[in-house]
Amino acid sequence: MSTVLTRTGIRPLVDRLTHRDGYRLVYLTLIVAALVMGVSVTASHSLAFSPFDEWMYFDYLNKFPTQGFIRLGEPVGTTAMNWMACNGLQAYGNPVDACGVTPIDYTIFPFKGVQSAQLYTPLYFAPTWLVASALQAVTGLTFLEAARFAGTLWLIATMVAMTAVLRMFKVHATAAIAVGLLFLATPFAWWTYTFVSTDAPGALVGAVAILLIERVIRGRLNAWWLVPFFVLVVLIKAVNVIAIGIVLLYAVARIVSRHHHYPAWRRPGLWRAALAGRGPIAPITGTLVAGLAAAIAQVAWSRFVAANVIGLGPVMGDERPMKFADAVGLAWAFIPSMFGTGSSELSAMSTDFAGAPFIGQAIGWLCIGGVLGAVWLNRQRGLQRTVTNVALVASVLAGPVLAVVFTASVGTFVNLGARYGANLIPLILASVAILAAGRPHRRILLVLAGVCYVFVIGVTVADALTR
Amino acid sequence: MDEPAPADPPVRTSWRSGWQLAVALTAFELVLILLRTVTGRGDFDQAQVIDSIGAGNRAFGTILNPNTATAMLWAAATVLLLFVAIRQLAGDTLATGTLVLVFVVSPLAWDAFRPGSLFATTALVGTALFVVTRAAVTGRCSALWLLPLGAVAVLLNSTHLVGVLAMALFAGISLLPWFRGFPGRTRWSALLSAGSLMVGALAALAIVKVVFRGTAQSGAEAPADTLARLRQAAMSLQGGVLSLTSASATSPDYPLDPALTIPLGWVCIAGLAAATALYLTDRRWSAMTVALVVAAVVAAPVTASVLSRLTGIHYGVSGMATATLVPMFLLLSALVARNRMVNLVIVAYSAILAVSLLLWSAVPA
Repeated sequence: MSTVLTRTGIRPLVDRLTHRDGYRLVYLTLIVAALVMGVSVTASHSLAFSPFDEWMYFDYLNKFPTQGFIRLGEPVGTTAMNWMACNGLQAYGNPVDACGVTPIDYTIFPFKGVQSAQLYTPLYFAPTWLVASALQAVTGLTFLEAARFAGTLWLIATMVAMTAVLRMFKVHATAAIAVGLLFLATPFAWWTYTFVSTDAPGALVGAVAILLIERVIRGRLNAWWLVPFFVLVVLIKAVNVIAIGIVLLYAVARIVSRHHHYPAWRRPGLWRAALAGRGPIAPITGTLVAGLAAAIAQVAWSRFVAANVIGLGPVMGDERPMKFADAVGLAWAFIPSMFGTGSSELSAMSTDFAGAPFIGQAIGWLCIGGVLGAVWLNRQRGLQRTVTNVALVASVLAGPVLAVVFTASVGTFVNLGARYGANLIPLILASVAILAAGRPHRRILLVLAGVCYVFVIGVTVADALTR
Repeated sequence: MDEPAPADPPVRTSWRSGWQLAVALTAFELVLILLRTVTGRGDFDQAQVIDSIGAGNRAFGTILNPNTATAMLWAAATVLLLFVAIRQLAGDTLATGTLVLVFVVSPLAWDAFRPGSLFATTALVGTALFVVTRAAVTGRCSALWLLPLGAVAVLLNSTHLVGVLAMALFAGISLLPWFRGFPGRTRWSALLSAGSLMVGALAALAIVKVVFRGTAQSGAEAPADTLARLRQAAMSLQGGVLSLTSASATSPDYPLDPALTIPLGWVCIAGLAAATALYLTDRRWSAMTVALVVAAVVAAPVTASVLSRLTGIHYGVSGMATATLVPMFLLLSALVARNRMVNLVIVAYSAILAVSLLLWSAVPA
């Protein structure tokens, strides 16, 4: 037993945990909360796939050790097909009545049983496969269940990075715990971290990107480190390109606010310093080069995929030309919808989400209120003001920009899910916490978040017990 | 740590200040109504609306709102009163114009000021309830004024009960020691205000019940499950109250794509959140802020439940049915609309919607 506990009881331990700004307690609370949420909710799921492409990802994981990646036009493997035929999809039920039927009739399955995960590199699937294999060997779970538990690790990593971001933004410890619990209670967390989902690294990428760029801005990290980071995260999932946009906006806003008395561009030796990855404009040049490198890497992967074609790709059925209203609608989608409000994608699934739509709706409102309310009130100063401004601008711009880039590169418009804005989550939650800075506000927020968190886990587990 | 700047007190200004803008906004609303009437845009299915609202309104609403001229009258009164009330709280012409413009271009106004709409009085009643109740609670006018106001509000449209309940809640909360901040008559004026509102509303509901007894029972379906009814009411509330402008919740025939108007609803949500952040511990506004936050969540289910019990009819609480709260949210937003850049962006965005509506209305159907 620790010296602290043996000598003077529990109080010094609390003091140590809440040392200085209280963030040790925040880390501890949120890690434990993430672990409890991840394990209990994942264990409560049935064997049915998540509708968010878990079927395809499960097949990718099955094929990863033998072939490494998925080729365009490749049919889904037998294991995943049989699993789908017998267990179906969460919220939708079983789309085909073919459990145990051989040979498999691919034409009756969604997308005619053709794989749609060929655009993904193995960078997400490799660690997930490793964790799933180890868990399966130790626990005897099925491979899908073991792979789902890997999401808990992503969740814990996300909570740690997000807590570091909140600490950097000088958010009060109570408000940090509150928004952390709020995040764990969202439909996004429920669908992303308790099933196999390539969205799992999204919020983590957003948080780490902000941590890195802030270190670059403060001169504690060479700007060129941004290049390998962004190449890696874009190769994990192309939609992480949003993180580059966020970081660019953040860097510009921070540099303008830090150097407005003496414009950075008038300083001698500016470009030489930028070349060395240092100096006031290095965060911008570093991010721009990182974006270029990430784009080149993504194009290279696309070429690689194009060189490994074995058939026609899947027909999704919802492709169409992009309309003006589509782009405008996406401008408003990312702040609330990511959390379960107004998103047709999540609303359709909400019957099987324990807390939705009430929980998601309430959290969506809080996020709108937090982001727009903080900017409108115009009360914060310094770093916190930059955070709320960037959160609002990035959230509004990300959707349309992503839609335009996607349509330009693919040729048709597909309604992008709000979950694609996962990179924005740390900034949005930070804005909520910043607005709730007062003592009664953060306490009310904590109670609200605690109730949401307990409700979601409680209903999910109770539902599983009565199934 | 970045300490938040201290809260600025709301600036009181003359009611005449910015009158040109008030006249311009009112004129815009009137031109819009006239154009729609002339070009035949936004035809109104009276029977459908009457069926969906209930018997109480059949007796009163149709008499008071029968034609275009009445719609224009209500529209002018609403926009002018809303402008004056917001101007008093915001103390800034830009912020005032922003919030009134948001209301004017919203699907809520589009639906409310159609000729024959039973919701033409809704925003006016909401604004009046806010202004008079606050004045009564703070001892600046007699609380007895709330007795006829509460009664007339409910008689004009039984769904105005939402607003009456919200203001009664405000007066009730003002009685609590933690929220009591005004000197002198606060306790008694608050008590009398809450009582007047409730007595007025109950008297009106009693009349509605008597009137309803003699009318047809068509469309009356008592829901089997109370919990399911409340859940449904809460769901419809979520689509309506805070999303002031959710076209699907308020005006199904609003001509612009619903995706284009979503941010108008954000104004209410952001205003409520920012007011909570700023005024939760401020004795001048804490009771009102708490009352509106609570009302935003529970007023519609409670209203649906009360009306169902009184009349035996299942009242589906739509976005329009809870619209009495919208001007109250806008009035609260007036206290926190501090960022001129954000206000300008909202004005630019609302102006685009306004021009689009004007062009659409000017083209014959």
